[in-house]
Amino acid sequence: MTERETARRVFAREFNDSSLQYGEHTDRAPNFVITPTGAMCNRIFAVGVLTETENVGTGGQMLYRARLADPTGAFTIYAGQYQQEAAMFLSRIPTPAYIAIAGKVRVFSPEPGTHYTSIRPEEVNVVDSGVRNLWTYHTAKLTLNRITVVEKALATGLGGEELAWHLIRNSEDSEGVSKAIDHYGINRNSLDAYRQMATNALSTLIEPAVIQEGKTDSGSKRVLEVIGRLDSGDGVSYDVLLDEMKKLGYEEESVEQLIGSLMDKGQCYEPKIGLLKLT
Amino acid sequence: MEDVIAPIVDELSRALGMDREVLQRELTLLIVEYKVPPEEARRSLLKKHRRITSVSPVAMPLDIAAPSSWQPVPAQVAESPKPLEDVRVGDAGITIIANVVNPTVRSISTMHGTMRVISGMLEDETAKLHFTSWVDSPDIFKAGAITARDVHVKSFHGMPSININEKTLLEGYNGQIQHYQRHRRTLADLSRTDGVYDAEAEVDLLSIRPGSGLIERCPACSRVMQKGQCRAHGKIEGVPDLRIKAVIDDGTGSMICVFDRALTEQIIGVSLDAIHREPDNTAVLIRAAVIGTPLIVRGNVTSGDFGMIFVAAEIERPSESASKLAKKLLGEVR
Repeated sequence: MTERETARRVFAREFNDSSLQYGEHTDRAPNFVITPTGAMCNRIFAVGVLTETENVGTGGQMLYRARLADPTGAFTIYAGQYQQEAAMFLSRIPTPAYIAIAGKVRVFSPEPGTHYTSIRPEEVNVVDSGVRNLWTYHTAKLTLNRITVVEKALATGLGGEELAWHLIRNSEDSEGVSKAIDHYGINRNSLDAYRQMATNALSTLIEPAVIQEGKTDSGSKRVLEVIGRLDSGDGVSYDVLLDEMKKLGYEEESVEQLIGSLMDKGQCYEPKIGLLKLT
Repeated sequence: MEDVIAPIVDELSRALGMDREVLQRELTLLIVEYKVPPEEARRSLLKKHRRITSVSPVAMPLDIAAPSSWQPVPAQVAESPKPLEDVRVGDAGITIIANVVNPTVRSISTMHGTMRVISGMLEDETAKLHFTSWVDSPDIFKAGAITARDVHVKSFHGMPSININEKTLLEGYNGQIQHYQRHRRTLADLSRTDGVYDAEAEVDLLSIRPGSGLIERCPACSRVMQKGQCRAHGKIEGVPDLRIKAVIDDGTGSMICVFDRALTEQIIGVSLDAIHREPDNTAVLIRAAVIGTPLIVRGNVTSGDFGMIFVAAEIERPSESASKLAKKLLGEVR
């Protein structure tokens, strides 16, 4: 029986840079798009934000074009009459939305030198940001793995057939790697660019200091508590409050920030300049 | 024809210590009469007569023509033990060292009547496998760990299973063998095996296969029924059940994964009873819950006629924060 083609994980930027098609144009033999880092894609799985859907079919035909954005760029999706379910889905879904899509890859080359990559969906579904973040992480990881394989391949100094044989037991994408190196003229610089792309994508996942958030919360409580304790009716002078907070181990700057945010929230106010009072 | 048969007769009579006339007759029958390729005929006779002699060695025919120093042809037995992870279906004459887990005696009926066999699990650091012992060896129960020389490996429930028979040299192993620890593997890795007991993978659910959702099972044999018909029991009132057959994929490989009723209910968050009241929505419900869902799956990976199938026993939503994972990975890259 024929094996199902694995859905590869590639970022939109890398996918859209792809221009190398591979595969015998015979019955049933799968066709591949080989990406610059050597992923042999027949099918891919992508999760991102659906930003645009548009029916571009002419003469009453249904042909939905959509864009799915990941941290590096956007995939183009075409769903026509043979992807009815996906097309119907795209026609109904309001944008933006987190979407997972599994589909076959396509490269359209209207003239030599120009390439348009797209995905023809097999399955589409609504997911959430957690799924998107996890996909971004795994895709970055697999992309970095591929880059390492290509780097090792470059280090051998081999090329063409020789390299292909050398790589044959090295990785799943070994065939893709040697072809990608030859076709895209991959060198250290271009690899670094893709590594940068992957690490940038990872950076988008890192939440801005969650721990800081927690500190702010407990800090605000502490400020309110100190004001409440020291206030004998007219409010607490700013300097006294600052001294007290410093004793508790807070920096002047963060105390200022805390007071500022508490005043913004309306939890304390200044009856007179330099004095603070709880609301 | 004679010059084809004669060398085989020579060889077999030497190897088996058998009457040349019997061999001559049987070979002629196979090769001349039935037009079996000579090599195949040689093989089948070797197998047939070797079995007879090993069961009743006393009944060996005394033949003056055969050399008196007859000995069974020893199969090559690997001396160095093979890690259970590397054991493949079809392996023969291998040596293993493993802990014995839950050995039990059971009776099975074979062509030759009822037999007592010992079955259970064998484990080392790398894998855990089912085993069957066709000989009653007290060592299996007494010793915590055993060394078994000359075992062969068959497929059992789609996974490799170690067979211990009368040829096997079995002895207790003095020493500690680490217990098997389930560890996360890629689907590419799992696809290269002949089946894995108690595996784990982190995957995405990419597609739903036919046969998912509300199904009917035959009450007699629990086969899945088609249109109210059981393959073995014909028209019968089925028992409703729920399952999902999904394509799982982790970017390195893909296979089919089956989720039983309990896991299906866990994935879609709706019980079978609730679905039964509104069966029309099942497909939509499952689709919405399954496609694109990341999942950690634990269970057995089986290899069979329909390729590799992951039989899920336990599932979990990945709970590690992407932020934390990303930080760690960035730390490794920089």
